Amino acid sequence: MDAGLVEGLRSIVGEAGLVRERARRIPYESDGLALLRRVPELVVLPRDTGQTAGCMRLLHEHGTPIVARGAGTGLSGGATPVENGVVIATSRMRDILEVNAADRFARVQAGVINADLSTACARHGLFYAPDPSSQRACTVGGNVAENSGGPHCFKYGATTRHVPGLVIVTSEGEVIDLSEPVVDPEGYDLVGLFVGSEGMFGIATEVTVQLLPIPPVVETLLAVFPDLDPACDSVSEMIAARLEPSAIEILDRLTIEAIESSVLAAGYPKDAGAVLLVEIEGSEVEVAETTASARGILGRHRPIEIRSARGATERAQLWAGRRGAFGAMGRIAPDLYVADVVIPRTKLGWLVRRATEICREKRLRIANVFHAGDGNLHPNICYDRRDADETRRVLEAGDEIMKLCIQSGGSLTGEHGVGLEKLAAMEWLFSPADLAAMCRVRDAWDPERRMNPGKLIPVRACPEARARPRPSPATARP
Amino acid sequence: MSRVRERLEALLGQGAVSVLDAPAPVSGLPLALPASEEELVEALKLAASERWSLVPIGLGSKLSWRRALERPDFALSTRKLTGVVAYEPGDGTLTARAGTTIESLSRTAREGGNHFTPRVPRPDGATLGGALAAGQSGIDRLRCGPSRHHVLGMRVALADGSVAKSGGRLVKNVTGYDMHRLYCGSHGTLCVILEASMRLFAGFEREILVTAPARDREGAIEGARAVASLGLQPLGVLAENVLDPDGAWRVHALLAGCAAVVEWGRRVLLETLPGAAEGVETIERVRDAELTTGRWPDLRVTGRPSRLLGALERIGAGARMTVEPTIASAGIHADPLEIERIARDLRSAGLQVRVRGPRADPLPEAAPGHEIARRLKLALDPEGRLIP
Repeated sequence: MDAGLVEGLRSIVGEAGLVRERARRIPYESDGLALLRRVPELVVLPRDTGQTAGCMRLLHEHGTPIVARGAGTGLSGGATPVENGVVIATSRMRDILEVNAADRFARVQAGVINADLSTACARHGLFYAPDPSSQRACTVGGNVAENSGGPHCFKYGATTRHVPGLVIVTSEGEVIDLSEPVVDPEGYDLVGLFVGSEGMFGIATEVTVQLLPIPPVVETLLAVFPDLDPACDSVSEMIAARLEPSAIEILDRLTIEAIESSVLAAGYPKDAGAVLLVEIEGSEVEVAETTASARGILGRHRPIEIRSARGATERAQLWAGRRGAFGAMGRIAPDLYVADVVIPRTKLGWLVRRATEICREKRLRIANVFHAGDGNLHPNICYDRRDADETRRVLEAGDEIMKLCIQSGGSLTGEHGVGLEKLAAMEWLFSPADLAAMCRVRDAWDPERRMNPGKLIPVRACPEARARPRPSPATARP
Repeated sequence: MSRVRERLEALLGQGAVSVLDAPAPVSGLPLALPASEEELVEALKLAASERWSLVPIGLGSKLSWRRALERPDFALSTRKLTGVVAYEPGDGTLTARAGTTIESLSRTAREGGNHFTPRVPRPDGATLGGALAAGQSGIDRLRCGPSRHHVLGMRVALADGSVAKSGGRLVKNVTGYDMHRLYCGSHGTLCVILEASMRLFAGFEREILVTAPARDREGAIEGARAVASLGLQPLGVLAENVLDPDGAWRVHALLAGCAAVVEWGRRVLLETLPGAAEGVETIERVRDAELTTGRWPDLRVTGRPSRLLGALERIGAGARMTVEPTIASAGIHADPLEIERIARDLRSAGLQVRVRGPRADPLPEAAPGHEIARRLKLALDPEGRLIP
């Protein structure tokens, strides 16, 4: 890396803000998609918007590619470093800048941990709704880049519905302050467009989030089934009956075995074929009504058992098992390919059965844990990446499952993003004209395509020359 | 007959070109009414080859919301592109062509046991494409959120006639950029919306409206806030002084959901709100309150809830308005001579103000993100053909 550039960056962030030694750079070689790795040439850790903007201007002058990174918990290779590029990580931007209880919003730096935000708001009787399973590690800025979801998105929606404002640093180092929380933006909805752009439009350094009142009553149901089919069918029936719990989650037998053998043991029956977690939140009357309806539907599908969590401790234990599911899988295989697909909610059971068949044909073990209420499946395929043939079969299975989803009206990713993992699959779902429109929008933000290059949009879908002329200042009016 | 009209008639047929009945600067424009998506795309390609500019519209009910800086060559309406493309009641998703009216979509969803948002004023005069392009929300915004949050995907035609989709028909999906979020509220300056997929809510067993009188504007806003803090999850809460001929202030709470929950909410409201009663107003009149005077409010105000009440005190006590205090949104009917002063005062209080009608102002060039917005316009409509 150019010595002058490194010295310039050091003058902005200080020596403590640079990660230079190879041994210290290795942890940044991948995100949660460990199949794809590249040790970055330099990692920069700015403390705030000003330092980030300074670094971005300098990198712009040098034409250096940039990959933004939160905690690196993403699962699609969105934070995988790129050739001749630097990684800008937000891990030193951890301040909660403001909690405005009266207007129910908070402003935080991008590196604030998701779970820490809700903890900080709890004393005001408020919480932040998006709750990815990695919420004890992932950052709010990373959630913005990926438009992250989580179990409770069934009721509350993904990150984009909870982020009314951002401070964005563009690839050229310009700071765009859109942090004021407004319900209906005047002009183009730049914040809505930015959320989920996978680090390709710029870096969000501050995030304004909407907070919600902590619900007065919460009921958590655990329904135990002999196998997956009745669990899936009962979810489809709950959706069709227009029930609106806050979360509906399914875990299958292999996942239960892994969790119950780990330190996260949640008390799921080890002989169950599947368990269904249903959480219902709201007023006392509302929760009582919905719980009665949900119990009625679950009961019709011949469960082994339906039980309610007895208090907050048991509720937390049941959710700890669900949240720790991916980690617990480490007990049954050295590596885990976490697929993330979405389908219409009426087709849940069908896709689970087909995904299981695909894996059986390829001699692979599959563990299902998924956000059933949203039709968002995570078929987790167990493998050992040291076994090249098994790795190949895993990737083939993943592709077949994605194609199956597309054929049945589904999509490639419900919450993990496209990143590198699903890059090629974008052309299965979108036409050249669809992708060209996305390229045009990307070029408006980053004309030189230096932000997270090579991710999300296949290069051949962007036919224009790599370095486009910068837009002339006088010819367009929004 | 103008050449523009002649060419459009040659392309679409004589009956498919009319005259736009709308205020200046678009009054009297040739109005192209393509009967299919293919015809609409051909009209766009014709405009591109002839270097004509155009204003995309649905039924044209919100043309006063954003003013064209120059007179376009013609208006292109999606009102004949109607119909539901896909509706999965059990999945809670609905895809429809842009010209389908909100009333028709609401009815379809209701018959399938779902609720369609936004519940806008005069839904028979609003199309899906028009409501989304205008960034319009409705009386159900308090519980459902802004309509752009529930757009699952879109198909649009760009100025060059190419057709592009984003998103899909799924309630959860992060594949590709959320281009449809950009198109919502862009007022047709980036594309013509052809089709949109919407997330639906659970339908309601029962729906009631409770109304309470208020002594003045402050009392009404405080009453509305009190309702919103009761944990009843109302569909909407509105403070207004436009429905009563004498300008009396009132608070309306719209409760919807399963019968038992609505009944509980009704009892709480009747016990809590002084003078509250059911059946004083109809749900439809409250839904349409913004349009009681026959035109849209002159100013649309949004911002932080805590700033709203104090800022509204700067406006004369007799001004007619609708206010949703919890989401800090107000529509104000003002004396034409006072509009600019009021807008200035409200902006200085930290609120965002959009002026509508003949005084509608373009976005200030100093607004944050203006440069990116300008580039986005250039990227998707490089020759500036859509609403010049």
